[in-house]
Amino acid sequence: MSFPKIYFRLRAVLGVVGFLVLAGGAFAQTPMSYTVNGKPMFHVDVPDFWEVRVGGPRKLTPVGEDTERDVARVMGLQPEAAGNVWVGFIVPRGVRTLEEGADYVREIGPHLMNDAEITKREVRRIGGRTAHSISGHGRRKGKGVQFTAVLIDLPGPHIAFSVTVLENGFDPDLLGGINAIYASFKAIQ
Amino acid sequence: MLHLMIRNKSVITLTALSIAAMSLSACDDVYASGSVSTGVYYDSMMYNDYYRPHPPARPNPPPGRPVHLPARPARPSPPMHRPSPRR
Repeated sequence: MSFPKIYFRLRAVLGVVGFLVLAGGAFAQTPMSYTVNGKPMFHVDVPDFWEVRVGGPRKLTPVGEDTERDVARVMGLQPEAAGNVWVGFIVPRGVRTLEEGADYVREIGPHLMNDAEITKREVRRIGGRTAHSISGHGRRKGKGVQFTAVLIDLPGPHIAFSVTVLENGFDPDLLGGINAIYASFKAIQ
Repeated sequence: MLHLMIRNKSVITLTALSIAAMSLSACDDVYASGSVSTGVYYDSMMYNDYYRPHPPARPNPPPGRPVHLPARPARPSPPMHRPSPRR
């Protein structure tokens, strides 16, 4: 076999292998649904080698408080190999519109980090739904953190709130996984 | 001869045990996979939900609630922020 023939065959084989690797990477995710009272609100795909922590509607009493109150389900995702990247989702009760969600974002800021400073606001589309996004930075546990908080309009009187927290020193390669999570977001009608 | 065989068997057993121990120590501990640090963000999200005003609770529990409720989940770490009391 002549050299050009071998070269083109090798290139074709490598091309197919490359396609399979890319396709495998694109589909190697696990779908998850966020539910409220058993009704699915949205799906996201969890990238391979990411961990999921899911709570449920539960009663909570912080230390020093005497009132027990219900809290909604929180879904948290983080890479298995990195403890400094976190993505969370919640469908807060009583928040029906993106405008009402703005108050929610103001309330949750001090809970997530200190000295939060917003550097960017934008309106986006996530999973075909209108989303209001704010990005910025702050501090938590003595470390600098970057955040992106997103309010996503859901069908009916609901919104989803999501926040991504990146502590200083995070691996930029993990941004691909985060983008894949939001790219897979699909609201349930 | 028998003495030598027994000695060889011991050596083989010891070697096998050493390899097994080394293999086990190389496994990941399923309970320590780096999820401690970001737990604070998870708990903070829950505490925000605790402190924010909720719609009024329904007077009666919904029908069909389970008789035996599941065990209470672990208590999360304390909140780092407490808003002023509700009006």
